Amino acid sequence: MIFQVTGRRGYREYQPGATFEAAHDEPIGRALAMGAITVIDRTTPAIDPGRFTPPDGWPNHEQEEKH
Amino acid sequence: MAKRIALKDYIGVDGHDLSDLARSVAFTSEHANVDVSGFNATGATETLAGQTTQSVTVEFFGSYGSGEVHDVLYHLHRDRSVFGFQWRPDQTAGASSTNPQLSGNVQALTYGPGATRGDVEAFSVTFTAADSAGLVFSAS
Repeated sequence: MIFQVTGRRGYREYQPGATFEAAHDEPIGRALAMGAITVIDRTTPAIDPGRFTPPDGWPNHEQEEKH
Repeated sequence: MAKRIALKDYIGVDGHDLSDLARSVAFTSEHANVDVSGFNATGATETLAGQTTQSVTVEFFGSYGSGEVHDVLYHLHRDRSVFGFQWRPDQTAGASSTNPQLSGNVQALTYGPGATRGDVEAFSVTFTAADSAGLVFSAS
């Protein structure tokens, strides 16, 4: 998740107004409740289709299903 | 190695930068002195280093604004929370071998703000190491 420091003081060494990426853990929850930071974006890890394919010459998914 | 006037220290509590609301910091790490003496000809005592107790005491200015000392510390004390603590000599530089950072998970077992008429409100809070990793100095 991406957060922004919204309080008047630094958080995790990020200055007010700065954005940072972190997991939503217990300290982050406390900082959110205090209003020291806010959620800017929720990132969802994903691999784009077509990326990270097997090397050339390796059987692809369709060929494997035929066997 | 140059001598130092403490001016630019960084104090981080549960991620919050409380540096400018603190005016002193003191770290203590003590191994218990365990007597393992047996009978011997000299009567001398033999000891081993036992359990390690670590704490760091910070003197804070009483401040009650959003994100300030009371807002950060009171809930951590009340809820018996375990949280991160950091201290390094120079806040304008990252941790390094010449700017070592003390860090670890701690608890605020005591919290006692107080005030005296006409005086600057300041009080000490002792953070006690809360897990087996302890409070350690590191260069990163």
